[in-house]
Amino acid sequence: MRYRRMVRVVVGIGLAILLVAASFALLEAR
Amino acid sequence: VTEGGARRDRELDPSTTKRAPGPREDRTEVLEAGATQGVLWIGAYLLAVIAPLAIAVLIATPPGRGFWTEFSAGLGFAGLSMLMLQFVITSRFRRVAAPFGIDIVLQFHRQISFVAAALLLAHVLILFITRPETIQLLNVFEAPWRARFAVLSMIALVVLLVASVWRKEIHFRYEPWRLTHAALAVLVLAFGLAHVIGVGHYLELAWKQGLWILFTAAAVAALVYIRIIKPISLLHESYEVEAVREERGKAWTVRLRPVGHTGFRFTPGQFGWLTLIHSPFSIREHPFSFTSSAEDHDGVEVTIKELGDFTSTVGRVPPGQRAYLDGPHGVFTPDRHEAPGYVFVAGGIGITPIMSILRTLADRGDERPLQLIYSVSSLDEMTFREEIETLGTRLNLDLVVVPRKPPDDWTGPSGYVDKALLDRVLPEDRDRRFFFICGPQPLMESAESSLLDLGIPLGHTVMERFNLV
Repeated sequence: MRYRRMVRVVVGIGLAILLVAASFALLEAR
Repeated sequence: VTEGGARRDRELDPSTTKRAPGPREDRTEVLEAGATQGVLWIGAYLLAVIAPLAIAVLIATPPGRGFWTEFSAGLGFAGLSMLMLQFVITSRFRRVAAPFGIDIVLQFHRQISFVAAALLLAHVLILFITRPETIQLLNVFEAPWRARFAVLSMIALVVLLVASVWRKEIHFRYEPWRLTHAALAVLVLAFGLAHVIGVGHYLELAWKQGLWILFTAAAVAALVYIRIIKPISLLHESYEVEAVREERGKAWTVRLRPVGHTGFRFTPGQFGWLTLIHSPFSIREHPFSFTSSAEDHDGVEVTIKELGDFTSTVGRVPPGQRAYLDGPHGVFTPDRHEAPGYVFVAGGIGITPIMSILRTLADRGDERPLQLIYSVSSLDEMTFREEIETLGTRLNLDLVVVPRKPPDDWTGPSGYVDKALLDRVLPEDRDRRFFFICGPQPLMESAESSLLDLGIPLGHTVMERFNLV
């Protein structure tokens, strides 16, 4: 359970980074 | 909360983050403190990944190169930052590990590496797809150095991942693997940095380059700390083997005595990284639970099962052998989880931390009700059998032995520890007790989900696992 919770955190971090990288790219590309 | 003050910082454990009807009213605060600490560290991690990217992209910005190229560059930067943070995560800083347990931190190290690798792979693929001319850069004979460094970094990363994920399958021994892992990690980072500076789009300015070199240096410094500085500091606080005695179940107890210092205090259930060097008995920094009582301040014992690898020679370690012990570590201890009673579920050699807990509670004259559910292959193989039976007279202990191969006249439970068995043997006040589970992976997973099915709050279950690579 702790393990699964940790995996959820990992997935969350991955998605957050994708989102931030995409926003920066949008900002730059304008 | 003081660093190393493991005995006092019990409010840091997130495995108790769920609100539980605990015996003490201050529990709510304790649980929330643990959760907050955990969330703060996760936030700090995200910030540490994103900040270098933000500095590169948002301050003194060069002209844009289109969405996909920028997105690809962003993923590359983020991936590289994550690789740098990998060095920090594994540095065993107690303050970081405290809210999660060091095992979860190391599992995080493993899992997040896949995310970093995926981001870096996406970084490359997006470029190849949206600007096919960049594929030519793979030709290392003609490509510029910035591209060669990228290729070298990726190759080192792939080798590192393959060697870690399939270490056992390719029969890569643990000791050389660890060295290779560290060396490859430094190479991945160095080549990655050279690539970023070589490309130079965002790092044209000297101060930006300096900043990235600083980040990389900090990451490598973390590695140097744990692999070189920490071991040297341990040299001054060495131990010697006082005695080695055989236990049931092909296990050996090694008693260590501090030499020229007072040693450290631990809480029962914690572990240390043991190094036994010289001669053929080469154990370098393997985690072992302490098995002696935490109230025994003259020395510390670890019990090691022969598993066919380096552990097979433990029985031949001579008294007087020099040893080094880095500890204490871990949050698998009732001292952090105050409860009106405990249930311990042990499988095989997973009894070791629980043995320390039982011995300590006995030494403290603890009168709380305890139950030990001990899964063993047979009664002959039951490590600490005689002593556990004796401890039953000093503790309020209900012992449930579950042999997989019971003797013919056995009337107790046998087979595997599953939900039906737990439901049958667990005490009436089960929902108020805390559960400590330690054993092979299948037992831990089965016990954990069974307890949840039986209505035991998740926050009442404490586990630590070490099966990492």
